[in-house]
Amino acid sequence: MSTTSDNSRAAPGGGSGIEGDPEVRAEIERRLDVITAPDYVDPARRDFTTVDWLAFAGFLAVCGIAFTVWGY
Amino acid sequence: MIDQASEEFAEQTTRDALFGTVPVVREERVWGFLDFSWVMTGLAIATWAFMIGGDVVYFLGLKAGIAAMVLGNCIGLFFVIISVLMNTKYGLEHFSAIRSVFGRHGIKPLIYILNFLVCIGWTGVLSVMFGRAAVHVINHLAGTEYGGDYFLVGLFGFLALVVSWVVVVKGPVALKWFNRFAAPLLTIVLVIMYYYVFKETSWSEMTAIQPLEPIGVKQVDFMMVVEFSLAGAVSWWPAQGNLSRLATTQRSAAWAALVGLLVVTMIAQTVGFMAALTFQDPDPTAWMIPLAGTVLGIVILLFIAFANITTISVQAYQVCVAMRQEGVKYLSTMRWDVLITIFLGLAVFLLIKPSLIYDHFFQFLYWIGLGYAPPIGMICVDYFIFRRQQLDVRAIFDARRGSPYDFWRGWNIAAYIAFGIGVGTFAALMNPITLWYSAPFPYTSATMASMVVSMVAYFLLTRFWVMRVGKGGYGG
Repeated sequence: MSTTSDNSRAAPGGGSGIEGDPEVRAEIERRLDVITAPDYVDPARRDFTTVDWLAFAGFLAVCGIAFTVWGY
Repeated sequence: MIDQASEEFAEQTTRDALFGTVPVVREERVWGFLDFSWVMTGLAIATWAFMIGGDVVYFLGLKAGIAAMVLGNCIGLFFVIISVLMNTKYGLEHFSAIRSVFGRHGIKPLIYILNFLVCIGWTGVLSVMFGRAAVHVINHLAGTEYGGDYFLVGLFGFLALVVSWVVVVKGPVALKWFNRFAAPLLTIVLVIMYYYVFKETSWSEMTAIQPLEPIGVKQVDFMMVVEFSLAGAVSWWPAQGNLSRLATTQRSAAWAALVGLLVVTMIAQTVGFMAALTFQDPDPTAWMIPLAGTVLGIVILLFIAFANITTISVQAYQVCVAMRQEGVKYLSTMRWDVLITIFLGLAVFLLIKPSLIYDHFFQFLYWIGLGYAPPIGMICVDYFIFRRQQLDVRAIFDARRGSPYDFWRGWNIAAYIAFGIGVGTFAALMNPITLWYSAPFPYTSATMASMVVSMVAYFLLTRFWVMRVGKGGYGG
């Protein structure tokens, strides 16, 4: 699971295709350049690992089932 | 009423709306696990948690009621939380991120119709709660016995909307301050309620109390509560989508959401349920004085009333900001005070007969489940199965014809067909107005089934239609 940018390609046909207020468009373009740069590293890009999925789904499943068995 | 400061604030809202859509970068992610847990806790401790807990008293006794609430929340939150992991991953605003599923124009009905109507409903519920709290105080002080539909309830509800209007139009400086104290004070209210509930009634006495209006078939009653608890959980979806983009990691975002939206919510809903059982009344405003005594009860009621103004104001601000950001020109240029007036003005209709929505609050939750569950399911299929957790963030903002997420002129028709199939499934299983249900409902629930059927429909339509015609940027 890479923590770097997933997609650094430019939008097809040249230009960005971003609509709207020029100031906002410039800001979005600037940020897209940052977050799609090949060397951009962000811990938020790290996807759930198998252990994360097991822990997260397992916790909710155990909680739901245990309370149902206890209360129903 | 509109002075220069207000005009400046109105301009600021337009900037907020426009700049609110830009993706956040690493340096702007400020919430680690503990910070985000606190944010989620603040979100979860709201007066409506007492209402959701209170409504369980219609169907179930103590243990089964708690079990059904936990089960519904666990199922709903699982899908809500995983559906917004992409917002954390890419720092994307909620409705921007789901352009990858609905298309850039396809998200507009979700913002301008679905989200708008849901928020008007919440505003109506909270303003009625304000009115009921005020009338309970009057009843107690003046020795009157005004009912829940007495004109004063509507009048005080209207007052809540007017005060909220002033707060949102003038600029929410006072709101910021009140917000800082609201969650801690509501936590204190929670502790006080637990103390007095257990002082009044023991656990074993509470387990012996029967529900108010059960259908009579335990499995159906249980599923009715699972259903509206699940719907209550999915109602977090838009807020969760926007907040989670400021979390530092997907892991911290997910677990912090569980702390706030599951653990803290359950604590608040359970005390509401216990109080409703003890006093045989689902209305939180009816418990406080008998529970905590005259002085403390009135203080709590007044605090609840003002907490509701905070929530209404925050909601009105967020909805109206969202209304300005998605490219409907007359809305983005409309005067801020007019936009707020339209939003809050529509909620006034719900004050004509306050009991209509307030005393059928759980049915309002069923409607939210009906509207939110199918999109949440489809987003999970799209992001985890088809896109394998990879979004083209440039394409999210690319408005050109033929861009990857353009689908059909900005609309993903397949998503709306799957959405419609999900809604049809819900309707075939349950009627949120009459509470009619069909034979499979006690086993499948309506919200859950509509989500699963939408997921399957979306999968098939995308796999065998959208991808074959080269739409959606799935890369063949």
